[in-house]
Amino acid sequence: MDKNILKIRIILWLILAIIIGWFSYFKIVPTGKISYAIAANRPNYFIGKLTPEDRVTAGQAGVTVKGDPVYFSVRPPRRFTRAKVTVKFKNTTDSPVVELGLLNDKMAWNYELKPLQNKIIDQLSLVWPTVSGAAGARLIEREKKYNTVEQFLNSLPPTSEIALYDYILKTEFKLADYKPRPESRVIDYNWRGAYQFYTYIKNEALAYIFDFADLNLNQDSDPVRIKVYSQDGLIYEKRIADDDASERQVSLKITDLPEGAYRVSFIANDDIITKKIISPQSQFALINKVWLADGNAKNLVLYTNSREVSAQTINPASLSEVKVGGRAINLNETHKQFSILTGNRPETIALAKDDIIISGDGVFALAADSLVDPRLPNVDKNLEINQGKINYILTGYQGAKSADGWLSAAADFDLTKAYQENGKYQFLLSLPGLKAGEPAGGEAVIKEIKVELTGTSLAEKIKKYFEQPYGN
Amino acid sequence: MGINLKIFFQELFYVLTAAILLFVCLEIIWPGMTLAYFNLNYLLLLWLSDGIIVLI
Repeated sequence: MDKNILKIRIILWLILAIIIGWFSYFKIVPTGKISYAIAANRPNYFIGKLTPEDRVTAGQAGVTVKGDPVYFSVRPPRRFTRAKVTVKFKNTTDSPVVELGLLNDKMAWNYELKPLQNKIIDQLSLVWPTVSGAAGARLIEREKKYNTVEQFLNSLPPTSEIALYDYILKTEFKLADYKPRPESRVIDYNWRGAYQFYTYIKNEALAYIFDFADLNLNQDSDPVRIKVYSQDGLIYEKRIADDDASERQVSLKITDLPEGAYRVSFIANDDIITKKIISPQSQFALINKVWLADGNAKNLVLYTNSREVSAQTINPASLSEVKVGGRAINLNETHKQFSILTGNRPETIALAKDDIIISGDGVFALAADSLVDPRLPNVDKNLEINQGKINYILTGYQGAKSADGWLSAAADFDLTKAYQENGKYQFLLSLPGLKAGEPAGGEAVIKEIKVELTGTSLAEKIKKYFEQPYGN
Repeated sequence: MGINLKIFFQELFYVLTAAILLFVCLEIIWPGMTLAYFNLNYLLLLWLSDGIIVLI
């Protein structure tokens, strides 16, 4: 064979081998670490574009966000355990908070939210004394009283003076006049889809029976999960598979629980209608959202401690006026959220029609004395710091870095708990209060998104395999 | 020189054929492995052009 032919052949096949090796390297990621960065207006295979289209506008400087929330996906080449997402952005809108979330549960539409910017805390930390503690915790006090965060945690002031942001503070929540009821009561309303509520027990079992129906509007399986959380986290979980029956029932009974408030999460898709809830517990406060399904009694009245109430419907027959205290939300368009600030707390919400989604930053109850809400106020646009007599803010939020007129902030996520569909993770970028088509007071522009993924390296994987070859 | 070029295009044709087959197979086994970085349509165009050059 001619030497030249052989040379050409070797060179060409070598180039092909190098290209395949290069592709394999970036597929396997043997180091266990890889990062992808995009200009927000130039998505690629790994980081998808910001959607939905009616809430974003791509321009030279980046992508302008017009409505809350917007989404993007991240498609890693293989499995990773953690993702650090850095966003370069600008926010001159009236919305003081920018958060980044990762979808953990699609059915419950549950995003794990992490802060990118909180203008309220940024401004307060400039004028109020600030103390830094372990693990990035910060205490911002109206007047200097505590020298360390630990000192604050050891001798907490009244909880009515504390607001939190990106911080979990375990506090004792007790209802002074609570007495268990001897008999069960029936909550005879139709609730659609997933919901969660607070209940309260004292020297009694936490017991609930849920009667629910499957509308079977979609062909997917409609399992139902029930989770119960105490202040320390998940304490009970039950899963009910879809057995093709249109009517189903599930009950739960947990005994020997200490007195306090518990969060019950009913996780189902919108095909599921809860017809009836039977429980001896008197406290029933739905958290953040109520979707009263079609077929309820008319002229419903709800009570809320929310500072802002929003109403929305997807049913043209449900277009109506929603009275919030002395004011009203004119629900005259479907698939659009209308909001109003409440005057009093608790405030009444009068619904002339059902099949309306009512949401807010507080809880919703069927009686004014059932508004059990053990949460401390969150530092967001609805927090009234002076009127609410908030003297302390405890936060894990670190603040965004500023450079070249842009802000840069990072959030770290655990991918092992995240929901993945078609190899993609779903992220959310939230600017609460920003609504498409309404004046925003400025603009929110996303310039860059960088995702740093970390996971098991090839060497660790091989080592693990030889240590436990059968995965024991 | 002319003969060398013809040989080069012939050899390139074999390599490009193998590359297309390999990349398609890899893409079927591990989606996104090649398409994430490279549009196979360009490779197909290159392969077609090379094939035409080899034939004429």
